[in-house]
Amino acid sequence: MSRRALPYRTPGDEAVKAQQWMLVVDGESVDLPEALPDWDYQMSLRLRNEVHVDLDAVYSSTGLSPEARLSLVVVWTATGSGLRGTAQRASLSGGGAHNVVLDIELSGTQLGGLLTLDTQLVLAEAQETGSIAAPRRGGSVLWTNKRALHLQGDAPQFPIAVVDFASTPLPADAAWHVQLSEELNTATMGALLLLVNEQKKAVVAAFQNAASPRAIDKVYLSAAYADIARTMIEHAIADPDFSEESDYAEDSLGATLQNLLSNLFPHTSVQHLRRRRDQAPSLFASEIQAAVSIFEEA
Amino acid sequence: MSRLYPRLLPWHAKALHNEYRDLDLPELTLRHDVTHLSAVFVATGGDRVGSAELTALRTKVVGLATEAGYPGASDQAARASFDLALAEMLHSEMGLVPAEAASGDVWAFLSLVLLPDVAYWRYPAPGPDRVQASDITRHVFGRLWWRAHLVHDPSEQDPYAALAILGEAAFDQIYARRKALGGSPYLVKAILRVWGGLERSGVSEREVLRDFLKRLLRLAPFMCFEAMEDSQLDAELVRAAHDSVLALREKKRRELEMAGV
Repeated sequence: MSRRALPYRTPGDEAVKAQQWMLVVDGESVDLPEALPDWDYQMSLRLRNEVHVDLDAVYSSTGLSPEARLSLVVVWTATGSGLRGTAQRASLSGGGAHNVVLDIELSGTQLGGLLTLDTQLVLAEAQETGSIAAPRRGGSVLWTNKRALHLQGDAPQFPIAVVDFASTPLPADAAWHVQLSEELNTATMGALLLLVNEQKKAVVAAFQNAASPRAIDKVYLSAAYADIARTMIEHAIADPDFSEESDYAEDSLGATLQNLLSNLFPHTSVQHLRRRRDQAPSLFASEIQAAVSIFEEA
Repeated sequence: MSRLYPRLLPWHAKALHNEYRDLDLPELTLRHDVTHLSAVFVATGGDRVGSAELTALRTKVVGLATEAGYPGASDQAARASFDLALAEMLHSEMGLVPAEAASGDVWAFLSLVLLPDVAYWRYPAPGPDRVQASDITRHVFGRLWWRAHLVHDPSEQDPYAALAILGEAAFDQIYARRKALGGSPYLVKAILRVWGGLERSGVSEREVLRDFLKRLLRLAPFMCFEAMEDSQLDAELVRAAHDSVLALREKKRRELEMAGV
């Protein structure tokens, strides 16, 4: 339930209740996880939920008249594509209690990055007959429930390309290179690219097997992950304007770096990390290894 | 099936732009290619396009440019109609998915490897963002794909009819507010529907659009535009647009009054 201040009355938590989102795979429903590591944009998502709406309670708490038409909608937003759209819209009117089944299918081609599902109860059309402080405008949001899902396949979240380093200005014997834009407001999809040297066959194989890695693949991937994280953190803190308060767009490289730092160092400020890097760079490098739990799975 | 296009990495894009900015069109035509030694593909997410498809894409783009006067000089109207035709062609034929189209490197390959002559003809002496794709909303080709994507409506007889409603500068005003407004094709299409039928005589089109978009930005925190059906959304947008026209007419009247006209 949103706690933002709205310029009209909203229903209490008892009037509208959502269940948990479920992911439907081959007809079977499972709890929707926080992340789908193997997702890529050829994979569509089918999701289900159920929302209980007590219309009488909604009308009485918001001051809307029972003639008001309401809609329960699911709006999705994907940072990888920068797009937003409506997944399902159900009309509600009359009175009594309703259980609304939400059953949505999102095409993978529109998605990527962080997917947010906003389930909202809204006033479907303008309503002028309600009481004082009742919502009036069509589209006014009365209740909202937000759920985020990280789509972490390598293609959308972290673009990877396999290339012969000998044909680039990169050192021909390096195994990988993280290409990062200096402009932190650029969309992550266009600002980040992991290049893997095709001459390093074992490393290429590890990335190709990332969905079901063998033991040896896990070693390579863990080493790569630690090094990539370190490169990204160094890139962030080398920018004097970067901080946890910097206002970057949701789908930007700056926001991705802020998320990475808050995940790996949840209780440490950027300023403090900068000092650690300057004062004890080798210890700082080891702290990053510890933060990413290097070789733990391997 | 989505298609993967080669990506030109930024250091190569920068180097090519530095080299190409001083070349004339025949020299740029000689430099075009369907491959670049350093071009890369992302590893998963679709099928890679081949040389034959890239050649076919080049032929189509050059054909559209030729209709607009390429390689000779062109006026603003010819460039505008070239943009509209190209937006539709790129979006309908490239097979790109939005997440792939969000990558600047894909567009840099098109403007600096496959079609440098057309890119530098469309924007003579371009700034880096027009060809290197440091900002897709400014890129000679990338911005057109996105413009088409946001207005595309497969249920219409002409799915790209709405492309012509707003000029480039006006569309840029919406696209620049991408996070709040321009990321929603549903809302963008509704804005275009309402704009097409809006009576706005006596006031500057640019000012009305700016004021209209400001009003929508103020409503966005507590209104869900995507939640409404077409007719209801249009009604709310008409109300906001009408308020903009009235406010600007009143502002103009007061200014004339102050000036003693």
